[in-house]
Order: sequence, then structure tokens, then C-alpha cells
Amino acid sequence: MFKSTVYKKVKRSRNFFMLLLVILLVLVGGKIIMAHEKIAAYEEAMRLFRSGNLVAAEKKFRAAKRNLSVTDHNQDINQKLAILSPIREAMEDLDKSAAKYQEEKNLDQLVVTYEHWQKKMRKWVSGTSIQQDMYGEMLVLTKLDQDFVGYFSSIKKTQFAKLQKNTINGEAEEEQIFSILKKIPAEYYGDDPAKTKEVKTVFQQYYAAKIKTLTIENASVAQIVTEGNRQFRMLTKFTIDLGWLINTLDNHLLKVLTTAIDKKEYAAFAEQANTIRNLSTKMKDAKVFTFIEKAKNDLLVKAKSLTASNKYEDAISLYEALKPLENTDQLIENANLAWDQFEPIRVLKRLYPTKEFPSFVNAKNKWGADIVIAAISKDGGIYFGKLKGEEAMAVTEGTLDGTLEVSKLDFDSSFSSSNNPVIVIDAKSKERKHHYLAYEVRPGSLVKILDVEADNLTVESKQVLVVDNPVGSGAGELASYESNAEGVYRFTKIKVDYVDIQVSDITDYYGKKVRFTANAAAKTNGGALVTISETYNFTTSRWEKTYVLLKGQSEFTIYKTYTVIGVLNGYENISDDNGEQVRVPVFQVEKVE
Amino acid sequence: MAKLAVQLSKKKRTKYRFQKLKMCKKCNRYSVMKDETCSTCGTNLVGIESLVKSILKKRLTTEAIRILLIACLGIVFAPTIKTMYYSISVGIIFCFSYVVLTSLFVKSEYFHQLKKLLRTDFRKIQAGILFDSDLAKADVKEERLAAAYEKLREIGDFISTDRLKIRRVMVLNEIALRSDMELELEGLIPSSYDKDFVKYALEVLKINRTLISKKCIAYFIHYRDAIVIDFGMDSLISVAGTALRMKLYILEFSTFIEEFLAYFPKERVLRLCNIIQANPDVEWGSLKEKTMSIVTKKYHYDPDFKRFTIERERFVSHV
Repeated sequence: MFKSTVYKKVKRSRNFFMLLLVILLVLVGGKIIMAHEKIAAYEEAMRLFRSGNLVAAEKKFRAAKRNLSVTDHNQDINQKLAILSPIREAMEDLDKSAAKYQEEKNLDQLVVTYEHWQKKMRKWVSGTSIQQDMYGEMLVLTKLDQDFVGYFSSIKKTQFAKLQKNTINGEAEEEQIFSILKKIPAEYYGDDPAKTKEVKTVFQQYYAAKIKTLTIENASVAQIVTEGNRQFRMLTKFTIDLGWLINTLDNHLLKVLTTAIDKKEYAAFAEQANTIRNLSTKMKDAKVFTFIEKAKNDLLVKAKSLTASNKYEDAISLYEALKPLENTDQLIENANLAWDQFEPIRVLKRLYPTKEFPSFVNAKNKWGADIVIAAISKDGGIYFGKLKGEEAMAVTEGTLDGTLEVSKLDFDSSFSSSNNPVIVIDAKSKERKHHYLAYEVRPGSLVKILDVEADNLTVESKQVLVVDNPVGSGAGELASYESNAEGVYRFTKIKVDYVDIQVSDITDYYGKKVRFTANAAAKTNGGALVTISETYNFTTSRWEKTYVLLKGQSEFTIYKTYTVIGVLNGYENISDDNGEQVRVPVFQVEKVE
Repeated sequence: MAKLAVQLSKKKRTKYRFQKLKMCKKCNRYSVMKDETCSTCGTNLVGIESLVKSILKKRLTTEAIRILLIACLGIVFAPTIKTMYYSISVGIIFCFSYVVLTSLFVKSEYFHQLKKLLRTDFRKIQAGILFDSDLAKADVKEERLAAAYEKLREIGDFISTDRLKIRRVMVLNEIALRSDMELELEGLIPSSYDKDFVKYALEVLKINRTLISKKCIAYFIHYRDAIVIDFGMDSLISVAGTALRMKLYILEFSTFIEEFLAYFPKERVLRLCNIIQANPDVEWGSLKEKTMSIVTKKYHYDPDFKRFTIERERFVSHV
């Protein structure tokens, strides 16, 4: 039932075989075409071979060999290819490999390829004429020689550029560049000596440029020394001459040190010199080392002289500066000791590191000590220290009443009844010009013996003080202060310090404090003009007057009589009633009664 | 039930029955119908002879292709150009020779192929005829009796089963038969008694007596009892009368004729007398005696039989 009819079977069978036939006819067609192609390729190859066009012939022979449709001429083709193909393949392979290694920047393999090429080339050049010709053609075709020139030139150029542009990071890269340049065959430098010379020259220029850059940029000596040492090491490794580097470094460092000395930058000098000492032993004969020794000795001498002239800070600074070059610790200690004696406040500051002493005074060889010092701390403490030899400072301390703005601090043993040291303080007062205080140094304590606010204070005699315009008793007058049984100064009486005179006698008391009564005739030159005398000059037919100019108080009213205390202390030019310039004495009014 | 009046086409006649076979190349179905197109797909049907020729052509082509294939393989695997061209030449020569030789024996090859085709596709042909039969059945159902009968008639050339015969007879019994119709009877005689067939035969007998063949008369004789029961004695008398159509039939069925001779119409008896008289040398047996006796008894006064009665008297007097 499911079987096909005979007609269908026959038709199917015919179609199947027809299809097979079509397929086979295609194959047959293909085979015929390919067979003819092979024969044509072979004949063309032979023609090219005979005409000496070996590369093209080899290509055609290969095409013929690849054509497997028929085996005609296979033996001949194989024979020819056995001669030609290895050269082509090797050359193409070399060309390809070289290009690849160049692209990959694999110099080692590129050099290996170059050596391989050289080996092959020697073999072919010394071979049969066909090999020579084939090699010649392949060389022209592949341009392998030009390629290698290009590759190696490019590598050289790149590496040289790196060196010239100074774009190298670290010694490893320098070594790498040196290694790369050494690997490039000598042929591409000219010959072996040329290669060595070129590589050395370019590295020398590179290192010289580096040093030059550092010197131009005023790089630190440490940097230069580090770079110098590095270059010594690298140049030694590369077996490149060091003379130029030694000279360059010597000259530059000498210049740097000289400049530092000239600018008195001793610390910098010492630091630089010390750094320079780290330079390679290859520099041992350099002038810079001699200069360092000499300069160091000179500076030590200078520091010594500074100490002698009490310029301790400078001396110590110099010693400190020279520390990198020399051990100056003892010298610094000696200088500090001398300085403490010269400036004992330093000792006090060391004893009370948390305190500040804005006011202090010291004296030598007093009260049994080499140095005595009095100081007032910012927090209201008062200190008295005694320094003897290398002993520790003996300090007596007390406290001020209230806060003071100290203007002056001094010792005055005349304030003491028992010749104890007395610290006299001149502070600012709100009510008077000065606020005078005195503290007597007694065993174990500081006792305040004076506390007065006045315009002035003078020691009249032993334990007698004259106080000008004190607050309280004697205000507005000169008052005498005398010490009582406890040695504390108290108001005792008013003290007059001027002379009563007539105004006409004023010129006789130039510079002395006087009192007189006068009438203010006019206002001029910021003061009141007082007529001293008036006479008629018959010769000129004029009234001639003499004046004194009162100054120091602005509120004078003319035609009013004043009793003034003051001092004649100068002259000024004024215009008189006649409009003429006259020179008049100036009385500086201290007080108007 | 009224019979349908239809027009039956003439039966196509071929030298051999197989020539009626056709095939649809598309459906791969055989058919014996007269139709030129496939009833399934509408494609033109191809006659068996054209089909065999086509197959033969394709076989020849296939063989030629095979030879060319071998030649092509030879070319493809030829190691050198020379051997390649040898292969080409040999292939072309072989192919050409095969074509020439086959052409010489193309006729015997044709018959061989025909025989092979009929044998191989026997089942397919059967299936095709069965399909045709189904079409005929469908026609009957849809009362396209002429088409159905024509189909059954064509199928009947290839299948002679009682079932098919009776189916044809049943269709014919539905049709109003006419003398201008190309009817057949002998081919429809079933192997056993069938009432429809007898009915049809009696109908045909009325229209065209010539179709009542020896075999048909024998059928009536064989099943006379059943026929008498179903159709009455007159049917047998009519058949016996039809047996007088030919001298050979008279001799063959003389007994059957003798049995119903007395019921024959005058015309039939007259014909029998004429035949007997025209063949005096034939041994008629008791038929002649009985015939003469009937004539003497029933038609001795009839001038049409006068010459037979005179003859009998002369004979009797002679004796």
C-alpha cells in the first residue's frame, strides 16, 4: 500500500543519479580547470625560473604544488621548491619575526632574529648561484636589511631621545637603556669602537645634563651629592670615564660652599659640607674637601671670638651650625655657661619654664655672687637669683600685689638699711606718671619696702627719697619718704624744689625751677606772652619791650595774672607789636597756682 | 417505481484490456475510467503505454547517467591529465554504445517493462480500481446512474465478480432500457441465481433478443425452477423461444425447446420449422418430430405451414 509505483521509483532513481551526475560534473569541471591551472602555473613558473625571476617563479611553483588536482610535473616542482622555498620562507619568516619583535619591542628576540639572518645570509651568499640570486631577490623584496636599519635606528633614536629628554625613571631604566644600546649590533653604529664611543658619549651627555640641570635649578647639595654618587656608580658599571664628573662636581660644590660661606649661611655650609663628605672616594682628591677643612677651622675660630665678645647666641648658633662637620657639644656647653653668666635670666627661665619674665635686671659681682638677677613674671611673681661659678642659681621669690605694667627694673642697695639687695620697680600708674615699688631681698623672702605712685622719685640721701607729686600725702608737691624701723618707706614731709623770683629776673635762672607771678599780655605761638620790661628808644622813637613766653598750659586768659612754677628752657621767634621778629625766652610751665 | 431515462455513452474499446489502464502521475493512482483527468487532483491521466514508454525513457537515461557517473569518478580520481582525458573518452564511448544498443532492443524492452510494471504495480492497480468502484458507488447514491453504470462497465472489464455484476445489473434495472443502448448480458451472468439478473435478462430479451447467448439460456435452464417461481413460466417460454435464434442453440437446447414448444407463438414455431427444413441433414432428434406434430395439430390449416404439412405427408407416404 505504501510502496511507490514503478514510475515514481524510476523517476526518483533517475533524479537521484541526475543529481549525482550534476555534482560529479561540477567536480569534473573543477578538476579540469584546476588541472589546466596547474599546468599553466608550472609553465609560467618555468618561464620565470629560466628568465631569472626566482621569487615570482617560486610563487608560481608553490601555486602549482598547492594544486593537487593532478600530479603532473610534481617532481620537477618539488625539486625547484626545495631550492627556492627555504630561502623565501626563511626571509619572510625573518621579516615577519623582525616586524613582530619590533612591534612588541622585544629587542632580545630582534637581535636573535638579526643574528639568525646573518647566519643564513652567509650560508646563501656562499651557496649556488640560484641561492645567491634568490636571496638577493628576497632581500630586495622583503627589504629586510632596510627594515633592520630602521628597527635598530628607531630603537637607538628612542633610547637616545629618552636620554636627551631626560625622561628616565631610575637606575633600572638607565641600565635597561644601556643594555638595549649595547645589544644593538655594532653594524648599526658603524663598528665596535664607534658603538662603544657613541654609547659612552650619549650617557656622558645624559649624566652631564642631569648634573647641569640640578646646578641650574640650584638643587640642594644633598640632591647633587646623591646624584653624583649614583652617577659614579652607574658610570663605573658602564665603564665610562669619571674625570668629567669629578671636575663638574668639584667646581660646582666649591662654588656652592663658597657662596654659603660668603652669605654667612654656616648651617647650610656645614650641612652641605657634611653631605659632600659622603661623596664617592673617587672624589677624594677634589679641591672641595680642602676647602671644607679650611672653612670649618676658620668658623671655629670665629665662634670662639664671638664667645669672647659675648655674642653667645651667634657663637652657639655657629657651633650648632658646624655640628654636622665637627662635634661642638663641649664648645656649645662652654658658651652656654658663659652666656648664663652674661644673661642670668636664661637660668631663671630654665628654672621656671612655665613662666614668662617680661622684666628683669641683672648685675655682676654683687652681694657675694658672680651674677644676681631680679625678674618679674607675667603672672605677678617677683624673683631674685644669685649665681656663683658653675653652681645652681639660688632664687628668692615673692609675689607682687596686683598686676603691674613694669617700665623699668633695677637694683639699688641704698634703699636697704642693712645693705641687702633691693629690687626697684618703676611701673606705670593710672594716676601718676610712675608707680614706684621696692622689694628688699631678705633671707628666704622678698619684702616690699616702697609702694608709691608719683611723677618722679629720686634718692636724696641714704634711706631718704624725694617723691614728686605722690598719691595721698604730699600730692602735688615734692614729698620726702623715709624708711621706718621695719625698713619700709613712708611719707614724712613736703619738699620745695623751686625758687621764688621776679619775672624780670627770669633769664638769670635758665634751666632752674622757679616761681613767679606775671600778667598774660597776649597769646602767641601757642602760649601766653608776658611783658618783662618796656623802654622808649629815642633813637628809633619806639617803645621797646622784652617778653617771656609761657608754654605748657593752653588755657591762658590775656590780661589775667598767673603764679606759675616751671623752668626756662629755650627761645623762640615771635612777631612783636611792630610786626618785627624778636627772639623771646620760653618758660615751660609745670604748674599754675 | 419508474425507471430513469438516461443516455449511456458508447463503450471505449481497446485491443487489450490493459490498454484501458491509466495513471495519475501526481497522485500515483491507477484508474480504468474513461476520464482524461484525475478525479482527485485534476491532472491529466497518462495511459499505460505512454507510462511504460516514459519509464523506459527514464530507465535508459538513468543507465546512461550511471555510466557517466563512473566516467566522472574516473575523471575526478585521475592522477594525471592524460588519464583524465582517457576517462572522458571511455565514458562518452560507453554511454553512446549503451544508448545505441538499447535502441536496437527497444521493443522487447518495452514489453518487458510493461510486464514488469503490471506485476510490480498489481496492488496499486487493484487499489485504483477499488477507488473507481467507490466513485461508482457514490454516483449510485447520488442517482447519477448513467455515470455509475459507465464506471461499473469499465471496471467490469477488469473485475468479473458476482458482486460487481449484480451491482451493474441493479443499476441497469433502475434505467429505462432502450434498444439504442449498448447493452450486454453474457458478461453479467452471475455464478449463482440472482433475481435481479433474471429480471434484467428478461428486460433485455424484450429489447434485443440477440443478446441472449448460449450461456444465458443455459443459466435460465439451470435455474428454471427458481425463475418459474419468481417470474412464471412465460419467462422460460420467452427464453426457449429466443433459443431458436440460431441452429446451434436449437441443437444445444433441443430438449428445453421441446418442453415449451407447445407454448410457442406461431412465429417461433414457423421459424423452427424453417430451420429444420433448411437443414435436413442435421440430426434434430425428437425435436423435429415434435415440431411436426405441433404443426400438424395446431397449424395444419395455416397456409404458412402448408409447405411443411405437404412435406410431412410426402414423407409419411414415402415411408
